[in-house]
Amino acid sequence: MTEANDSQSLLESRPALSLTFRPHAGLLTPVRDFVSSFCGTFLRDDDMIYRIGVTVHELLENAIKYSLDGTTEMRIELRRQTGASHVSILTENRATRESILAVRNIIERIHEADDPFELYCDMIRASLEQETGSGLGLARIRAEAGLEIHSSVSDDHVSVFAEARIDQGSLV
Amino acid sequence: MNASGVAPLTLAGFEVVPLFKADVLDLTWKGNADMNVSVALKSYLREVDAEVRRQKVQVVHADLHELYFMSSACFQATAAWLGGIAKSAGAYKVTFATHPAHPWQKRSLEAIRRIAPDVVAIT
Repeated sequence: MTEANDSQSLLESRPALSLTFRPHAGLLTPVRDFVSSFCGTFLRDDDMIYRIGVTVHELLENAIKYSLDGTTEMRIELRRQTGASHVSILTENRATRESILAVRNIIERIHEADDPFELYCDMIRASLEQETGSGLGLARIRAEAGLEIHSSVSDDHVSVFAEARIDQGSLV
Repeated sequence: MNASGVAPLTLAGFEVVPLFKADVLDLTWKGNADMNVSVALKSYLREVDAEVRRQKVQVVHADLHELYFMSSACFQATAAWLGGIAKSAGAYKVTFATHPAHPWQKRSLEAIRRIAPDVVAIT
């Protein structure tokens, strides 16, 4: 195989999309639609594409609410592996110490929950008494979209990483 | 406000249209319910709730066939409405009619059905 063919093969096996932008509410639906179309180039499972769209939407809503400078970096990537592949969605933005702590606490609760869906329901109940900062979006990603979710922090940068397992039969 | 007591909620990319019919209210949801919508939706559902109680409507039939997306903030707004009905001893029932082409709808609604299981039905 030539070097050019090797490069092409690598690209085909790792479709990836990166955006660095200043999201605002009016961009949420267009970006979700764009990402869904992108995922449709390698996924044949409409429900999984929808779950990825939910994840992108909720992560971007959080970024809009809590980004310190309004800028967000987002990366969506397919990693093909033998047996099962994975789609990952990463968002990274600057945030206050309070927002970063809140994200970490919510993700810790999600990891500790025996039943993520029950936790999500509990959080909806609790949110009825509060106007902001409910953490529902992150809980929804785990409970309803079914993606694993993690965070990492470096100074005032917080990254939230969500990942879905993709069966080979769902790949184009 | 229209003759029936509640005007449609019309926002960019999202709409809720009410139609009162005797003791039933048809509430048709259309479009994408995202963060631009949640505050207005919460306020609108309070208005709907007041009018439904005033007219002694027994059932609200929420048609979601043309609802393509709902953010967690809008689910929170909807849950607040349903929680209020449940607190008042189920003053009326709410049925959500979902579209088979949108399997997310049943999955998403199950979470808020648990807020008010005696009030909510999903079809």
